[in-house]
Amino acid sequence: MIRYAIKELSRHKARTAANVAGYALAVAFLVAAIAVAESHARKTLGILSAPGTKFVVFAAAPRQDAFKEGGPFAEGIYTTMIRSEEALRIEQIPGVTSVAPYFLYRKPLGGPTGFLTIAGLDMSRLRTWESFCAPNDLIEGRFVTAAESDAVIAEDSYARSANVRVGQSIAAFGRELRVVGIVNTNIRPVKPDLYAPLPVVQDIVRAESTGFSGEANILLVAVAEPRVQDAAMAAVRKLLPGAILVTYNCYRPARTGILMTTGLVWTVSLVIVLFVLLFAGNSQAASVIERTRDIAVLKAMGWSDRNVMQQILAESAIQALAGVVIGCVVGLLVLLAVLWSGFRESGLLIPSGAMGIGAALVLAGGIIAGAVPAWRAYRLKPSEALRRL
Amino acid sequence: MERFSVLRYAWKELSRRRIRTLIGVFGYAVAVAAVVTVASVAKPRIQNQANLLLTVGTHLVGFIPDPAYPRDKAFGPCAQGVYTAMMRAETLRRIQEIRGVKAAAPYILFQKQSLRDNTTVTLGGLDLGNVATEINACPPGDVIQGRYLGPGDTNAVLLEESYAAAARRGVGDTIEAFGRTFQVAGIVNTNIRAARASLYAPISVVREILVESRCVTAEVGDFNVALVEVADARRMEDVRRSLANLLANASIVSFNCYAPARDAVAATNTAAWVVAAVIALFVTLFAARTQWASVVERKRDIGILKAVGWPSGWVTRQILAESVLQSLAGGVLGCLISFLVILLVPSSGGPAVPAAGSEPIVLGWAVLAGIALALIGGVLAGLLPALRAYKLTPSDALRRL
Repeated sequence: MIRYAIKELSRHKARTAANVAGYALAVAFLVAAIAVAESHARKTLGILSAPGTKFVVFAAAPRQDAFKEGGPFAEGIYTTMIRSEEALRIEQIPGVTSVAPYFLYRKPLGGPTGFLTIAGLDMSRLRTWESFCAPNDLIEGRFVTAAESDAVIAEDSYARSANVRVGQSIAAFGRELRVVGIVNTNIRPVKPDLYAPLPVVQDIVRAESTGFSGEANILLVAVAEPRVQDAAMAAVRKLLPGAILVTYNCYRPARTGILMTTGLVWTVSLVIVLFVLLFAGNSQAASVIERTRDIAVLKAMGWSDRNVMQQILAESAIQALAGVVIGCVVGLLVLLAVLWSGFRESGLLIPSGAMGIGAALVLAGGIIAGAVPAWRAYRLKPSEALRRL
Repeated sequence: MERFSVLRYAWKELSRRRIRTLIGVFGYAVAVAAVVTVASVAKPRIQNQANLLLTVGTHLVGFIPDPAYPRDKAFGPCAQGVYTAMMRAETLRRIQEIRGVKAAAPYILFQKQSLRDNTTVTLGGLDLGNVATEINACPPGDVIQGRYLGPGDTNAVLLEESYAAAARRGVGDTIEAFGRTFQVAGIVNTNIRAARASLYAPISVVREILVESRCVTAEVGDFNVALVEVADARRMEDVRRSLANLLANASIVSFNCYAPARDAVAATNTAAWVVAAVIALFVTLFAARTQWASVVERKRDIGILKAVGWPSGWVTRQILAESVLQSLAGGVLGCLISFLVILLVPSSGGPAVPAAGSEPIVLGWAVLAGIALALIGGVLAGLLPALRAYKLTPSDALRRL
């Protein structure tokens, strides 16, 4: 049967090529369009996962006796200290990618002249700091290193008002601190005047207090992406009742943006799949209609109805299969062309899933569309078919 | 042969083979419908996303640090930890005139230190009802308990959640601050904002307190912080520059998240263009295939036409006329299919971003583009076999059947 089918197909080379091209185009279209849409969704997720997906956690406290004048401080109020086990428990929350301790200490400068704040950074977790204070916020000088015990970086607004420059030393918190860099962190939570490595700030505060427990007073929490942030924040509130959570407001529109993009990609993919099915069905219908005459001849020669139907289905399947294979290759070539034309940065991947689904759909579409005319051929009387030519 | 009779013969030929014609028309229809549907479905969704993301983080806060401010007062107008100068209403008007500024609001941030327990309290003066106030300082949506402020509130305040926790105050309590006794109307968590304060009151009330406490005189100015909302993330840098030019020695702070939001919109636009190019390519190819298939099947008819004496030019024109008729009919049918498919596609969901409803369901330019692509594909694909048919001798065509 397959031999006859191939013989028949090769007898009408141009017609076979046209049919195979129909399937190939449908598959190639599906592969190329869905690959671009999918990689776009991935790219958007990558871009929109960054903004706002951080929050700070602290708890209010009355001024503590352990601290002589100042105290652990956050967003305008004095706070309690947080134990390191609590950081570990928060790190277990699904969606939380990193938890960094942060020690913000505020001290009056003596007399009614204002306050000075210093923040201790956990230098081993600089990735968490990207939304708070990181080397790329530097506008002058360099970042501190974990080994330095007398180096600090100054926030731009403080450096301006106190007239402090890189290389200068300032006497504060009972020691000489050398300013090695100036950062401008824009609008950030728990913003201090000076930054130093965490152990340095712990040392400073230890010297100014009658002892304290815990390694820091604030936790900086980073989550994987905006869609998991609400759940992560709720879990932290449950874990630390009474804690105050402060976050960037832009994670909400970012989350909506991601949802809109995935929705868009799904809708467009759905529409494309629908049209690919129509393309495949159209190709198949065209090929069977044109074969009415041949079918009639076969019937007139005494082929049984079953044989004719099998023959038609075999021919459809062979054409669809050839089309699918060629379509995948063409689709990949189009993707390479798209890559070559500068879509490279989007991380366009070969969509094995889209290819598999596309191939299956087109095969199914082709065979279903082939079944209808095959059924008609099955019932066709040779005389009728030959008369209609 | 006249143009009219070309069409007449084409029509006759098409109606003679109804099913083949229908399939050809349907091929064009699917091609046109694919273009029209994808464009009509994607366009409003891309627009909605851009409307949303281009307003993410488009906030600028400007103030003028005043290093000469007498610090021994232990109170005064401040922002981001430094004392500031006051600005006049005239300055605000000029900020509002900057191109790309959607709204600008005056804001007073007033800080007071307590020497007794080394604490600081800040009071924010809100210009109620101004978009820029709501986005940059404290919107009604940030209220987590109680209510927001109204224009008639002269002794009501909102408390920031962290300050309420430290001061142990709840909704309905009274709080002594800045020489007055306030009623706590609501608790808010404004999250990370440059204008964050401990308490918020209407700006008129804060202005009175500022003058009463002899902090600054009324002539010096009306506000110390300008809250600016930019219309579009792509104009952020321009507006920031204009604002810096307008306010000499000012500090201008902003959120960093407008940049990724803007990049996401740019990425969507790039992807939309690439998908559009892919669709255009395949629709043209598919139309070409439809046309090619129909000409291949008509080789025998062409042979007959030539055998009965038609000149080659007539045959070519005949084929092209048929392809134009089919693709036009396909275009109309495609629009109908597209309309039905769009009705089936679930609506964009997500947030209710207005203005999408007023758009037409099927995009006019997409219809034109779809029909044009189908025509181009059809004519191109018709041309090649038509030229071959031109050279074909009748005996050849008839022999090969």
